[in-house]
Amino acid sequence: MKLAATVTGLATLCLLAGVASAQTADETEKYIRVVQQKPFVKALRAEVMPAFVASLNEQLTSHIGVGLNARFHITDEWSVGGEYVKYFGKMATLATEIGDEYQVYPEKHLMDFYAGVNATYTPLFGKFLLFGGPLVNWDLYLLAGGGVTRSTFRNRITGEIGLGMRFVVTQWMSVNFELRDYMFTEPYHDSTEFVNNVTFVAGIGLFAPFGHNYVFPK
Amino acid sequence: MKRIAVAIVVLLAASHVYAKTGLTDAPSIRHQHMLRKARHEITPAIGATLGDAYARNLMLQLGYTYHITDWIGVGAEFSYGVAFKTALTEGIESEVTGDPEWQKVHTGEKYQLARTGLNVLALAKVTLVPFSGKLVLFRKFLGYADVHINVGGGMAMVKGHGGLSDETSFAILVGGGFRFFPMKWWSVNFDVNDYMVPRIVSRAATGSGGDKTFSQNPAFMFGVSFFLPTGSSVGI
Repeated sequence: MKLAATVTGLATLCLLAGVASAQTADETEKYIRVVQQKPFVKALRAEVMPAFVASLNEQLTSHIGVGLNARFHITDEWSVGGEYVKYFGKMATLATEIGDEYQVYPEKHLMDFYAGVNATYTPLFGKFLLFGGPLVNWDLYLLAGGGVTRSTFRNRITGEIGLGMRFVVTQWMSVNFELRDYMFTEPYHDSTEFVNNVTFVAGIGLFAPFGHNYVFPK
Repeated sequence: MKRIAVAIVVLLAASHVYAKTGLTDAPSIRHQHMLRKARHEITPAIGATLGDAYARNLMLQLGYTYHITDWIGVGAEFSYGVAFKTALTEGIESEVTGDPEWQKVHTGEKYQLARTGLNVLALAKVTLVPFSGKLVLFRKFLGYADVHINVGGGMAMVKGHGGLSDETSFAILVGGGFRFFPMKWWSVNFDVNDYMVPRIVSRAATGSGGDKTFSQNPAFMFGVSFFLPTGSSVGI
């Protein structure tokens, strides 16, 4: 009789344990947020991004460049930073073509460098499945700033807006793609023109400190 | 006694099985929304070619894709293009018109640079979706997104201006884009597609430069897609 009572008690305990486990899971579900602990945190971290730059909207000239961006992420959304781009420019084949074929020789200016400061805001972040397999975290950021473009041996005050996408590779590295528009006025012999230098930027973001640890474990 | 022991073992094993099923066998993404799989996508879009030397093409487009799986779809797109002069073309026409030597021969006339623009593109295409997932906007609004690649080919009709004749040719499409789903039955699309078409891009007044070349015509397209059926399937 005593043995039977012990067995019954044990069995009840086992069943209750299962129910309790299910109930705990249900209770926990209530507190699960849409986005839980982020696997990649930028807040209070510095980012250095060496980058390749290519101008997209040129006709008579052609520029590529190398750049260095340094940012400090104040929060996950906001960052401030500085940048330097060294351009390597040349005349495009179209310039030679229209000279040869139409005897028209428009005035052309080459850029030397851009140096400036900017702020970025990240309104959007998410995660992608790569062919249904590994997860890739990414975010999209907007950028605005200003600085100086050196063109034909003169400094031009320049405004800058841009849009970028950051794909996280590791806790300390990301691959960034950006579109930036550098805007300045350029005086020519006939008139002064408003120049939009639209560039494609591909860079590697290197973060320090190398990782982020949450206070509470996952 | 033996029966009791078996009962205890079964009960203990039951809770162990419960734990294993709940944690270890779960896929990395549970109940994934298959936003493309076995769905029809109809996309009206508008866009323009980029970096054109002589003629910029404004394009209206209607596309259709059937997504066989969540990551591959087949379809077609029809584009109608209208070509506008670039600032460079206007500058050249102005310079040549004002040239005294040209005016000696063409007194009182206005020089028209001979050029072509894209008129009609009818293409079959394959869409691959290597990246798909979800995103959060302003820490509040949840949505879905993908990055896709477009590859295709078909027919192109080229419109001639300034003395160049119309022509029918072929076109190759290579491009890609970003699709954002605010809701499961529609998406906002941003695509950059390169429509490669062999054509005479321009011809000078002297007659030179009239060779047919394989022209690159990258175009930025903005579109809205509607998905049918409006509901999507859900994965395991």
